[in-house]
Amino acid sequence: MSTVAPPRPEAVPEIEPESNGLVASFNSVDTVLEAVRVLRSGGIERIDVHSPHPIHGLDDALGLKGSPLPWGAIAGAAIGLGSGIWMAWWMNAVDYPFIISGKPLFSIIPSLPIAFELAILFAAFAVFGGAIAFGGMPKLANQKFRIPSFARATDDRYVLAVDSRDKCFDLVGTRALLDEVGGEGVTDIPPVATSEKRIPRTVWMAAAVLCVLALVPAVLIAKARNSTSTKPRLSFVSDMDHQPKFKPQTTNSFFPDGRSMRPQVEGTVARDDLREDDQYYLGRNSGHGGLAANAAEKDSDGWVTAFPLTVDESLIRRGRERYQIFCATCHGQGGDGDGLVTLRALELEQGTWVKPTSLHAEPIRGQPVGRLFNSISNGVRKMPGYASQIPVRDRWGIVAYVRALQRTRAATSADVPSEILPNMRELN
Amino acid sequence: MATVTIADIDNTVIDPATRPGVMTGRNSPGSVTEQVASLAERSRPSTAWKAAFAISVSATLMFFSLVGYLIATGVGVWGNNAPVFWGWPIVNFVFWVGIGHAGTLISAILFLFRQNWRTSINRFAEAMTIFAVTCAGIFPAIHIGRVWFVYWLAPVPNSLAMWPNFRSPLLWDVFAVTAYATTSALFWYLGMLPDLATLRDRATTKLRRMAYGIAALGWNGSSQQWRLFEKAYLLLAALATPLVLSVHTIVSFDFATSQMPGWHTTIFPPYFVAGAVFSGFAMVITLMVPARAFFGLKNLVTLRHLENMCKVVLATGMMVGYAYGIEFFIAWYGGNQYEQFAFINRALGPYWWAYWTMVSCNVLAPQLFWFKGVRTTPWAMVAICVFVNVGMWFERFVITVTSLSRDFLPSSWGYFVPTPVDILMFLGSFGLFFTLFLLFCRYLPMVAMAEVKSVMPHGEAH
Ligand code: HEC
Repeated sequence: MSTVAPPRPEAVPEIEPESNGLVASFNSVDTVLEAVRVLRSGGIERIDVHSPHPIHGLDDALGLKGSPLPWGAIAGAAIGLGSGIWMAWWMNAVDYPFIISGKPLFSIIPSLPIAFELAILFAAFAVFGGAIAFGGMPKLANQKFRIPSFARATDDRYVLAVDSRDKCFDLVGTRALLDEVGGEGVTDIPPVATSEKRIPRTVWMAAAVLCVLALVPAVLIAKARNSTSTKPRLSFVSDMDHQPKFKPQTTNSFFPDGRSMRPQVEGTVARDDLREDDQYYLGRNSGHGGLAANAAEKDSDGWVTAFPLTVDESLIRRGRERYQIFCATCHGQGGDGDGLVTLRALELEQGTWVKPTSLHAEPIRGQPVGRLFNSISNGVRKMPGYASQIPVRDRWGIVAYVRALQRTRAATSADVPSEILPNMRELN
Repeated sequence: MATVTIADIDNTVIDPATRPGVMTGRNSPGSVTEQVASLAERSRPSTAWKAAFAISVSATLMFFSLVGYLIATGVGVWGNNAPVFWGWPIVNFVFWVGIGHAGTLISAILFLFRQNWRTSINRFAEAMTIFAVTCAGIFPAIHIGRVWFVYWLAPVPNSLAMWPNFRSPLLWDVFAVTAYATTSALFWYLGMLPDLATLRDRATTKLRRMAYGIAALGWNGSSQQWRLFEKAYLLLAALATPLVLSVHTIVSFDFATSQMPGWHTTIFPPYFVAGAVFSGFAMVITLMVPARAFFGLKNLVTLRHLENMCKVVLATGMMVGYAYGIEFFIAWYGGNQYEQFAFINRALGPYWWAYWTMVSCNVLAPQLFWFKGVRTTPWAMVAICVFVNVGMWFERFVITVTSLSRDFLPSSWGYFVPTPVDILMFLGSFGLFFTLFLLFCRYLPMVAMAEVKSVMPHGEAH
């Protein structure tokens, strides 16, 4: 193995690539360490040893020291810890406050488990990433891999490599030196040939096109999320949208009458359905028909003229509140038939809107309370009924409030108790 | 090694004059490479491997079909029902995650304590960890019911503008198990890089060279790479050590932070960690003994390794036994009648059989490890360790089910009965575990070659 490479012809520079350096194999840790010492004492600095396992004492021999990894670990841990605590605070106390048994929205101790786990995780990423990146990985192609004997550097040989860029490197002299210190199979590291196969342009183009295409679905999804659509949403998992249950007004072959909805069992009264007091529940005196009777009937049809419950301030206040919720949209706050819905409907001039009757119109003022109650419950001509939205007591409250409203238009200062009169404006 | 000493043959005998070797017989870097790498290089697997693989793959398929059935039908296919809403899936989760503790423990803690003997077994144990954590992770994920919303567990911005609850131990658990699985995988992979490079450099076919080449990321064993590798390995070990302790601690918080009698105890974190190490080591032994015989690794994974692991099992088994005792003591000493009832109910109530299975497998069975004869007889260890694993499954069953089935309100007490789906899924998870394991044995370096080489005596020419 002591043959010196013969001088190569100068004439054809393309096929006479320079050497990238030399490698030599050693079969024990001691011999390779010794070789490193000899080379370094000869002034050669750019030495690397490729070994199947870490060699202790090599770092000193090669003069390597310091490592950025612990700093990476500290930085990773700090970021992890910080982001854990930040998430617990921002996500649960600021952006979406989680109220749990009146405990403070944020406190340090319960944030610690996650902050701790993230600290470890991020530090581990930093350490792993650092080891890979500073170790020059991933780098799948390496000129040294082209040397057959180099394969044993991961098996049982210690391969010493000298870089040709070293200022003391000289192909012949270094080669001789390596032979001298007992290196076996001293070989050139082949340089990267310019004629190496390169990835063709078309492949790059295709990859670029694919990358752009890969963005299309993401862009479409983003667009769909940020725009409105009149079509029903696509649901891949229908969750509880479709349930095997019987809905009202559907047919059902199970029962002889073919209906899903079951009639009340004879002789029973459903909870809250015992409505014996016609005056209270219907607003009319007994014996004048049930719910089926409609509001077209005349005043003489037995309407209740006195409230079938005690009217006190709280009832009227409740009535006012309900009136403002349920009636004012159409009838207006003052009952003049100028609610916002009405105004808007008239503005649109579609011709289908019937202006709500003013509650101060003479016929309405003269109606008995029972009839007003019935109008709310079952509706009147174009006006829908509110029995299903407003409980009975609240309906009476509204009637009382309507009565109060009506009264205001015809009232004089004589109707107001004298002690309130001076500061009536401030009353509410 | 000019003369053969007693430690070359039986390294369980401690001769004070010499330190027992990590390996037996004559080994050299080259022989280690040959022995380990050739296992991953066989062109066709043995019949035994094929048979084992066929069985475990079928079980895996069954597992995933059942998961599909569960998702399509709903969690009603399990026996979970009022009052036991945490049935077998959570028991299985804790069981598997516990098993997944030995790997990182062996890798990290024993590494920090410079226990060189770990080098022969750590790769194997780490692989086991990762596969066990994989099995563990599936159970809570499918247990949530509407699996397609599993991303709600992560703090991802969503259309509900809602975030997960950071004060819930269940969320801590999500983070702990994720961090653990990721860090263990990084640790495992980093440690494997040099060995993957060895397989790359020995590859005889282009496909193998490409596959191992990509996996090895271009590792070339330069002094710079080794320096970083050693530093990174040490740091990862230092990070993984508190991590491994924290993970089962947080798993125990799932129980301990609730008000449930039998769960609401401060002993849970250490008790769970000890139990995890206990079951993990038992699982390593259960797998290691047949593997070392089957793959001819007896000189690398020596009796001394097994004996050391048996000692760990014995020690942690007694810690677990101590915890069982203390739980009873505190229930009495604490004077809380619900707590007292919960424990009397465990031992004497309708689940007495589970409780006493747990105690006999976990506390009594490992006592046999006091005898050196037992500690050095492979089949005996496997038998005991199988008992330990059965016992540890029952431990989780006892904790989860006995407490839930009889809590504060006697009118809502119930008796939990698993469905066939429960049972088959648990068996199926073993299929997944063994499938991954057999693939590992077939394609990856089972023993950390580079590490073994670094702890063998150097300097002689080979
Ligand atoms: C959707 C708009 C709308 C709402 C809300 C509404 N009304 Fe009417 N209301 C009408 C219209 C329209 C009429 C006139 C119906 C017609 O003449 O066809 C009317 C008529 C009336 C009448 C006269 C009935 C009659 O005998 O002629 C009364 C009284 C009345 N509403 C009271 C109320 C009260 C009290 C409420 C609140 C519970 C209410 N309305 C809520 C639209 C509404």
